[in-house]
Amino acid sequence: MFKKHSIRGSRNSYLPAAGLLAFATLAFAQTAGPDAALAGWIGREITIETSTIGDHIPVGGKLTFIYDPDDNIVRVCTRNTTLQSTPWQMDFAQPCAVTLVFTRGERYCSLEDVKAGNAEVLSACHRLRSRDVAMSAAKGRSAVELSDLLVFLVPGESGKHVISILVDTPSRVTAPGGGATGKD
Amino acid sequence: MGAALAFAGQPRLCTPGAPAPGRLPAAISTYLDSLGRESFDQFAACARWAGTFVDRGRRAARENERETQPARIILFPAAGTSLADLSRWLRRSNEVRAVGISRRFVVAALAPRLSGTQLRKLLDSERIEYAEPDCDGPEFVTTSNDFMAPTTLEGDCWKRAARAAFPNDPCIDELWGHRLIGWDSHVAARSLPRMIAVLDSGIDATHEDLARNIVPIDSRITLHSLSRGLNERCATSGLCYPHGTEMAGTISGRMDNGIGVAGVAPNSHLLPLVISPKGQHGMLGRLSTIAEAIDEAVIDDVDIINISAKWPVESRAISEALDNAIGGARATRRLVITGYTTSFDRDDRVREFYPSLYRCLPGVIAAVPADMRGRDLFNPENRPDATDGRIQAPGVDIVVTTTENSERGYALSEAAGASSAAAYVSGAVALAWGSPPLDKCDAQQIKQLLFCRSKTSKSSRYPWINVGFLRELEGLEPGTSCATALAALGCN
Repeated sequence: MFKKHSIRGSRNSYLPAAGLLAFATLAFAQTAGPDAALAGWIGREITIETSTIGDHIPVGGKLTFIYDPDDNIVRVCTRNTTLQSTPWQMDFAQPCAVTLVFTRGERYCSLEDVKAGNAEVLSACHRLRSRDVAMSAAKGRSAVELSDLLVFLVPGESGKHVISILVDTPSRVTAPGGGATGKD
Repeated sequence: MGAALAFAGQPRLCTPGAPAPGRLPAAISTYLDSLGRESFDQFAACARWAGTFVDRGRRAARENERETQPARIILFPAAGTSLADLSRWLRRSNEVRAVGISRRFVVAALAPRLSGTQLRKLLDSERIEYAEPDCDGPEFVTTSNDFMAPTTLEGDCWKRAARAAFPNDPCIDELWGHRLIGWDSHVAARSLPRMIAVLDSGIDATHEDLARNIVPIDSRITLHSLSRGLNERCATSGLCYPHGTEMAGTISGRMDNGIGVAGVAPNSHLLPLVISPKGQHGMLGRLSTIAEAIDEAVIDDVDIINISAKWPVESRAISEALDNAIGGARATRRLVITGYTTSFDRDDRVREFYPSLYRCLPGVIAAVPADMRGRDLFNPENRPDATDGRIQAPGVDIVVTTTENSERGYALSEAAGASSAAAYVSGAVALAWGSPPLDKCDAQQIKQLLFCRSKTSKSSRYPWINVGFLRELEGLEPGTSCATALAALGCN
């Protein structure tokens, strides 16, 4: 529709048509790119620094968020390093298999907000969420533990990009939840 | 213990009107009907009741030929049937493997692979008035999650020598929450002991900062086998999950003993009751365990019941025990303190859990965890209303007593969250209630006072717990009545 406008436009109508083209490009860019609140975390390799579930989100492990414009999702791509406590497992061991959906809140969370764990407060924060990520074998039963991941984006000091991950197990097999943090 | 409240059907303590009809929770009834000859699975039933059932997980289990979890049901006898009668009848049934009798209900462990039809037939007996699954598991009944993150607090204060000043506990300067809520060591030193039941994972009775304040449960305890086993193993041994020991120090760690921390109510007594041992395979807390622990706290005549756990359903077993514990609508006997426990539901909505949802009751307070370090609280323009039941308290970066991860039995608990907030509020209630002449007040008067004298900040959604006003009691004559004291404090 916009292309048609530009071809048919006279010189007098060219400038408005160009404006429309620019608008169209901008609109395309907005739908194709990640939300501005998320953009700073895309493409940066983040190192896990603390974890209460080190078997599944290992300290020293590396992960990168890759934005997938086709589905408007974020893919988590992990990398094993020689220094990490244990290798990535199950869904995290597959190439970019874990996907996250971004929810724009009203602000960024602080680490203290995440640690307090009040979902009422956290619901106002920019965050990513997964569904049913296979992270480990369920203890005592021949089943897979499916977890939900909530990833909060936390602006760190000196422009660092920090993430704070909460892991829940709504499928309720056997494993407790936990958490981890990392930064680029 | 007093007469138990008679519920008929599914309880709805926070919903006006009659209890919901039916002899089972609606989700369980639907599940049973859907099974037919298929085996009942306790795990699937509990997940459905909680609204967290995930079919993918069930398919994965089937593909791996996971055995279904046998039914374990809490049964309430019909009118005219005693608990003993119901128990005897159950023991004669081929479908029942074990029976435990509690004070208000019977818990029956049923045969493996019992079909939905068989279970429905059993539960349709005229001897049974109501039944609900006795759910368990670290996700069904759980304390707040551990979580680790970088902290700005100085650690290791417990390695220091005693301070020269009163109180000489070396970690006292790191207890930012004490300062924020207006805690005064001289007020705390003068306070009378109150009894606090800590429904958690047990308390290490050998911990130097706690030992003198722990009151073990009576050895003649009449809990049924699971609860008795949990308590025998975990109540005071320090062998189980450390969460209870961590909360105990915040509530009532000894003051001026030259080590570690001081609790908010350092002269108060702690009764450990185990509901969530976590990590003890085969010894997970259940709904029946919580109900029994609340009843036990009533038998031991505690003033405050601190519950560090959350669960997703309104259990009749717990509702009856809790309603009895707080003394019904007047709720003057004791207070139940719990964390304001919330999480994101699958549709991303915020979901509040039990027992936090019981804050609709006048005898229940839900403590909202927050971090307000470096900020000041001030008096609100209007007196806060206690009806909502939520009050904010410190919940982040608390130095705690523990059984692990430290050299001397302490650690920096970076985020106990709602549990820490509940411990702070339990301590504050005990301190206020133990400060003469407020020891003459009843539970409702103490609750109203704490909300009346709470503080606020520009970013606070709920009132903040505060005990700074207790200094004002010094000017009152000995023998002053509670009503006069409340009037003097501007809260009559």
